[in-house]
Amino acid sequence: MYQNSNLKFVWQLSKRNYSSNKERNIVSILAIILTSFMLMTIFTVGFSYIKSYDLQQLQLLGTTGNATLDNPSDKQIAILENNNKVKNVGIREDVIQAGKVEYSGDNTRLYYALRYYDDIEWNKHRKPALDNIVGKYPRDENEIMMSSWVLKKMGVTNPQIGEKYEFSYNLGTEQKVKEFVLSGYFDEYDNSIKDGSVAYVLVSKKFVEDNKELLTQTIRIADISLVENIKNIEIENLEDSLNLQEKQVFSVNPELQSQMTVEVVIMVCFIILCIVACGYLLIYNIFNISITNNIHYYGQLKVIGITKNQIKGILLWQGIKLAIYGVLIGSLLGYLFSSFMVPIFLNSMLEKKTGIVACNMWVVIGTVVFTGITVFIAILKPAVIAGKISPIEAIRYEKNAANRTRKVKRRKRPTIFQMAIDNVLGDKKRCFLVLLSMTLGITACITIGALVTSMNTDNYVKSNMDSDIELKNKTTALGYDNEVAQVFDVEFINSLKNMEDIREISMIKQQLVVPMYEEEVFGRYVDTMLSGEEDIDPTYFKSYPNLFYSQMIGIEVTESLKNEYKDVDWNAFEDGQICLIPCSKPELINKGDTITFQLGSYENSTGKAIMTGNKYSITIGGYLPESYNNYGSARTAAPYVVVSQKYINSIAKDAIISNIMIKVNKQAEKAVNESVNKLVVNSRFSDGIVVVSAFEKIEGLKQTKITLFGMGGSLAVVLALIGIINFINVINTSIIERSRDFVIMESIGLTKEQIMRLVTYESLIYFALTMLFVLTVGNGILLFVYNTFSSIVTYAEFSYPILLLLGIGFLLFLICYFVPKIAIGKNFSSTIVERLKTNE
Amino acid sequence: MDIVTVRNLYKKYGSKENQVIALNNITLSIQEGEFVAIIGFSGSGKTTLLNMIGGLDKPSDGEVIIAGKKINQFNEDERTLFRRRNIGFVFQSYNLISNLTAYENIILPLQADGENVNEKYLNDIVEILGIKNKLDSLPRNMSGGQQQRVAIARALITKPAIILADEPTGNLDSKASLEVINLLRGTCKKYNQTVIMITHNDNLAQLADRIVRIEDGIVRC
Repeated sequence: MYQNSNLKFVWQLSKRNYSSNKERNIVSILAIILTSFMLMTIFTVGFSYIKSYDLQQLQLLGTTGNATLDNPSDKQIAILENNNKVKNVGIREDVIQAGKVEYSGDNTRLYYALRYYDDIEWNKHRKPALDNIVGKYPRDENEIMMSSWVLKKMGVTNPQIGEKYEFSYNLGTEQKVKEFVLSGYFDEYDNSIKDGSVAYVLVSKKFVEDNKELLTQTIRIADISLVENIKNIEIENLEDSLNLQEKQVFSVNPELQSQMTVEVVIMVCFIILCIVACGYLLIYNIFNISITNNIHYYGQLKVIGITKNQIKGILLWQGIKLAIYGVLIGSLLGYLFSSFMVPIFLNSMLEKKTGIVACNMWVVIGTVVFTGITVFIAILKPAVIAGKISPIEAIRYEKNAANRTRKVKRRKRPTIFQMAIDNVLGDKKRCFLVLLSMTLGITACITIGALVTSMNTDNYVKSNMDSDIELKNKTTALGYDNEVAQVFDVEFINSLKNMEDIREISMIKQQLVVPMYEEEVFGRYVDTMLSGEEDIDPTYFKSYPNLFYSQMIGIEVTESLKNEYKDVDWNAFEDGQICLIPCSKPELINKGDTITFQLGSYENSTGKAIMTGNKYSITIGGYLPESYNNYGSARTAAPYVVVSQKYINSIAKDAIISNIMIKVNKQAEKAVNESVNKLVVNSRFSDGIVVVSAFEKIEGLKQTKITLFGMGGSLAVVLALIGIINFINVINTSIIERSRDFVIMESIGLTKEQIMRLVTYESLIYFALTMLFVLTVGNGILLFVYNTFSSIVTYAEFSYPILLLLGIGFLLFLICYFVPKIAIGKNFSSTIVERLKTNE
Repeated sequence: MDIVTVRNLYKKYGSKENQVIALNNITLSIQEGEFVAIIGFSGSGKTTLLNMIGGLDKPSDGEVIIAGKKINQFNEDERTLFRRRNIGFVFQSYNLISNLTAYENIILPLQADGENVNEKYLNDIVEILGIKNKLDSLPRNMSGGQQQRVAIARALITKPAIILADEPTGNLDSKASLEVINLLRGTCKKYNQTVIMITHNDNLAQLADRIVRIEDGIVRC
């Protein structure tokens, strides 16, 4: 057979064909640019967010380790190190914990503890969670390393390596004062949330070794990082192999909730599919129309002997060239856009400005690959069609003829409008492609609009806060290691009360109480709450009553409380005759039973309550949600008891204020927030106070909303643009394709105005069908996406973007009205005779 | 009575040294009901003359009077309307709309006028033309002869005073050509229409009532 080696020939023909289709090339490159721009942006944003979120989570934890073993023996450490499910084992020792370490220059209530990390713990577990490490881990006995926030608390804003700091601490029975030298410092996630007011000062191995005999209260913990996806059975086997001693605990942290839930994955895939589909439809349409317009050309090529694969090659080469230009420009634009928008987006979405990650190689590869695939599959089918066409078919081919599928009934008085309907619905495939592209674009647009407008910041605040500002006593928070303290002293309260524009102040007080254990009253409750705790026998509390303690929570009775819990006798509650139990299972504690109790205080060293004062009795008058247990600072065997403020003030004058809720006049929110923040900062107990402000949360969310709207809106606009370009392209091309038909119509007596009306009707029919699809199928898609979204953003309140839809509808209407006029105007620029000759 | 009168008709294209005179001072009258064949070599001006008469183009100078109306003075829309209601065109390449059936092609001029379709009249035409069973077919499913008959039906549907046929048999074989000419003659007689036909074929021209020869834009009798 004859050799068919002709790459050069195909390339030359391809170049010629490319140069003679400038309009097609411009539109195609534009479509590819838009597609790759969107993909680049989506990938960059998504990838950066996931990475940044994961990094933030790491920094929140402060360690890469995900399991701990307290007081490990050397043998146990060896077992861990030799286990193939264990990546690293680091050791940390809190060498001086009991008793405070005080910094001599410090006039705040910040508690210091000396801590040691071994090399593995420092390098593998801790360093990855830190930022901006300056200097090195202490080596000498007198060297220390601290976090920059700790140094700031000490009044040191510009630390220098080699600076000296004097700390006093108890070592054995001795009171020691030692001068330490700063060997390094670092940035870490604000530890004050996690550890209360404890600031860790890192010391060297030498310090630990030199003071070994005196460090009798060292707490030694093995920090362990397990392999990913370790199974529960493997964790159990590992624990068994350690042969734990009495009171030794091996705990594994639950896996951090990945942001990539199934729903999020589906949503992201859906968005990517949308983008690819829109880009595909546009490029496919462009090339399909181009093939149709040049069918005679391809037929002629076949006549002179060009094979179908060569014809395919001509088109695919052009596709590659267009793709290269389009992907380069689109990716670059996408990268520039993302570089600007991603940090803004992430700062507004993440709690702290930590770990912002920019675009990387995989994002670029993903964009290039996805866009390349889109272009390739969009061009392939038209290329195959062009290759398959026979010369005879091509010669006889009439542009509009092949696609008519609809049978039209004969009408007595046929109108131009009916002709328009027949023209649109006659070619079902083209009609479907145009409608699909338009519907997808508009649906994506309004979906993003709906998601953003649904993030109702008022709703968020209402669902999370009952007041405008909430001040929390950190020392009463669950998990706080040190003593509970009265951080809201009289001076503080008075300053608050004297502030302008504060409508209402209410407080929650807390007091440790020791109820008398009675089987009839508490038996079922204790059985249920302590089930699974094999060591605890409920009658145990009879023998050790000071272990059966609880928190008494004093609340103010508000109107909203009365309205929500109508079955409670609030007068009796206010007078202290009844109490309420925060419990979701009323069958465990009987309403009407009496609790007898004494006030108490907690003894840290023994873990027991010390009972003081008189005995009191109060009747159980009802129940409250379990969330009221969050006002307490401990998990207790006895249930919490909620009473009125009046009652708790009468029996426990020194009850600790755990929360202050403030309601503010609307117009003065910002000013009051500033005043309250200033009051807290200037308070001597500032480290023990947390400020939660609805105003600041709303402001933060507003920024998120704006950013989301900016980013989402940009993507939506691009998607809509693709659909619109496709639409304009289809209208324009169908007019060009039918130029022969139009001149025939004109030659037999249709006026220009009638022809203009015909094509205008056709595009308006497309518009009407598109809007119908958007309102039906499009809204269905919107609801699906919204449901997924609202499972993640639980406070979202559905808000249909009616204005956006009307705006888009209006814009489309204008396009449908004016584009045919412009296209026809261009088409009719020469005389009938000239056009007849051209189209023969 | 003269249905078509052309007086001192000129049509020039281009200017100065590139100027081409397609029609050079043509004066011609055609009677109502006459079947006229216009013959001449390629480029002689036959089609240009037909386009002037049909209102597809405007003369550079002179008058074109159809049924007493000076159509050279009409604007484009007026000429189009006039053409729609008074003139039927038949082209060499049929010029059917490719995605309309035969029926839809035929009634297109009525559709433009918003007129009802006179089904009896249409039936008569399609019977005479022998295309009754092709009314629901698309052009690509018809032979050249059938397509040309559909084109003739379209030209007849508005009952025009004049039929202008520009080489109606140019793309047909001899048998089909003869059939088409006989059909044109038949309908011309039946409906008392004037037919002006351009043809290269002298034999077919002989079937006309009168032959008008054009050479270099001038009528040679």
